[in-house]
Amino acid sequence: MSVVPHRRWIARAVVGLLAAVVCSGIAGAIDDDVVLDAGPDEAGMRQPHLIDLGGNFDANLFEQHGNGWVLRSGPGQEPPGPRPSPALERARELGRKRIDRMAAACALTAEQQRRLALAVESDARRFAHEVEAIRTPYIGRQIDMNDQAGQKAWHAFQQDVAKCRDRLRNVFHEGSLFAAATASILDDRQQASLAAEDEARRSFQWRAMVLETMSKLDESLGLDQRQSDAISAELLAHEPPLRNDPQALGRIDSNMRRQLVLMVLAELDAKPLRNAVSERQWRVLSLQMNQGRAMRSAIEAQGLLEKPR
Amino acid sequence: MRCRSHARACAALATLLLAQPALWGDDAAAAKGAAAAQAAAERDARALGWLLQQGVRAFAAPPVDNPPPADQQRQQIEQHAKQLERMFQPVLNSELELIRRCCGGLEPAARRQIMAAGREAVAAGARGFTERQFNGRLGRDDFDPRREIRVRLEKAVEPLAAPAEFAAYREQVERREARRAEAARLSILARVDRQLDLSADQRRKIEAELTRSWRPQWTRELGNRGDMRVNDYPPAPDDAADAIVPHLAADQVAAWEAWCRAAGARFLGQGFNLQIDGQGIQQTDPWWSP
Repeated sequence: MSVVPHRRWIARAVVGLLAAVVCSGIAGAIDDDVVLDAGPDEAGMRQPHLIDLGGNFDANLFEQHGNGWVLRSGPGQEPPGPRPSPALERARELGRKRIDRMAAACALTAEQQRRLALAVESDARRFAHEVEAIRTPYIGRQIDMNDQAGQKAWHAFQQDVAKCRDRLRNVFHEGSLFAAATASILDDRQQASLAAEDEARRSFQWRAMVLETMSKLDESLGLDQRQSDAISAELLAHEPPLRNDPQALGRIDSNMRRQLVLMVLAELDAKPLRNAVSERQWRVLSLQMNQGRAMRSAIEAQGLLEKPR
Repeated sequence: MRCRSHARACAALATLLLAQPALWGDDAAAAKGAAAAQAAAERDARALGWLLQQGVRAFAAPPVDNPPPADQQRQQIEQHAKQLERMFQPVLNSELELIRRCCGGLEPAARRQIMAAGREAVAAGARGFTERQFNGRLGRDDFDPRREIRVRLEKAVEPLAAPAEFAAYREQVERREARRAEAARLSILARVDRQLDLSADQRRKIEAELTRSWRPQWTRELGNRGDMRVNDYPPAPDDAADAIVPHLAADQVAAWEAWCRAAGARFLGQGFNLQIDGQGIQQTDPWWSP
């Protein structure tokens, strides 16, 4: 009997050790199952109905491609006080790219580049000033999307951002100092080179869009070469006034490119197209063309086409 | 999942261990009957051994997310594939349209045979697609349900159509592939142009180089892959770098390298250019079921 307590103490030690291992195992297992989420999104997860309009302004104007909307929820994470707008830097960057592109197309002199850079700076500052005037009232303003007043404020916010997006698209366009300066700084030969380069890029981008869409039509209609040639020829002969600056072109996704091509197709004389395809193919093609036709306002709103003068 | 099974095994083990009066009780209580203690110790030792065995198994077992039994998975695949067949039907219908245009002299019996082969092809395409979805292999091999359907149809048409008609169909298939290749090349080039502002001369040279060194896998550029944004860039077509980089200016090369570092397409994997969106000729042409 005297050995029993001794054995029991050994057993206690073993069990204690096992229990420690077991408990640590449980703790580890529980840790693995819990997903901890900390950081700025934590507040957004807790209060997704609260929207900081100041933070959302820059995100929607500069980080969002196309006309989509990003909605970052939660109270603002920014420290209090005014925060400089990225508008000036963004506009300067776009201007720099424009000058680089012109220099590559028509061999600008250093003096011409300097004068164009001044025009860019002036337009960029004007743009930043206009954006800042619209943006400032939103800084530090928080709305509650569960509230009707908050929803109304979000709607007004969207309209203001859309206005700034449109302004950004046209910052060096018609009516800008840069556009006016380009006409007076470049000589005739340079202007002709620049126009030819622009034209070539526009045609190339259109050809790429047409072929991409034709590939999709090949899939859905089972076109033969003659039919494909007939439709492609019509499309290539009716190039739309595409905005060919990278800012506009970079915004188009494959669906929008396809819709743009189908829109152009829908606005052509239907008879030759109708004659080129079978009845079964026409049923599908006309449906797709109608979808494209209906996209005109969205395509124009994206700023993909030059505005009619 | 593995952690949960560990936790369960460990919790059971801990409960058993902590509930042993023979171990945790006082000496007087434990000494009441040696025989009873012996029996209890043996019983507990067996239970402890079993639990330890289970615990070790739980730790040693590979992570398995409770795989459903094979039969159940097969059933799920079949059900899902059946539903998917409707999406693949337009692929069959558009191919039949092209076949009809090229092989108008097919006899009614031959058309029925081709139609039956087409239905089987759709089922095989949908099944292949679904299996890959379920096994996580979608996009990891070169399986393309569209090609699956077309290849099977072509095999069915060949012995049934007049040789001249079949040759005409083959020619159209090849021309379609050529159109698709040209569209893919231009799609790559257009993306590079949007990103790097190529000159007309650079576009000409790169297009020629892409044609010369054409790779069939570039057709995946025709999907919506280019719509992705990675680090605020579209995917860089870096698998075509050999055709692009030699024609770039120094500043463009720097921009290209930064682009590839941020959003190189080769890091995105093989991708899967399917876009089976169900658009296309929906109704089967009655010509095929005379």
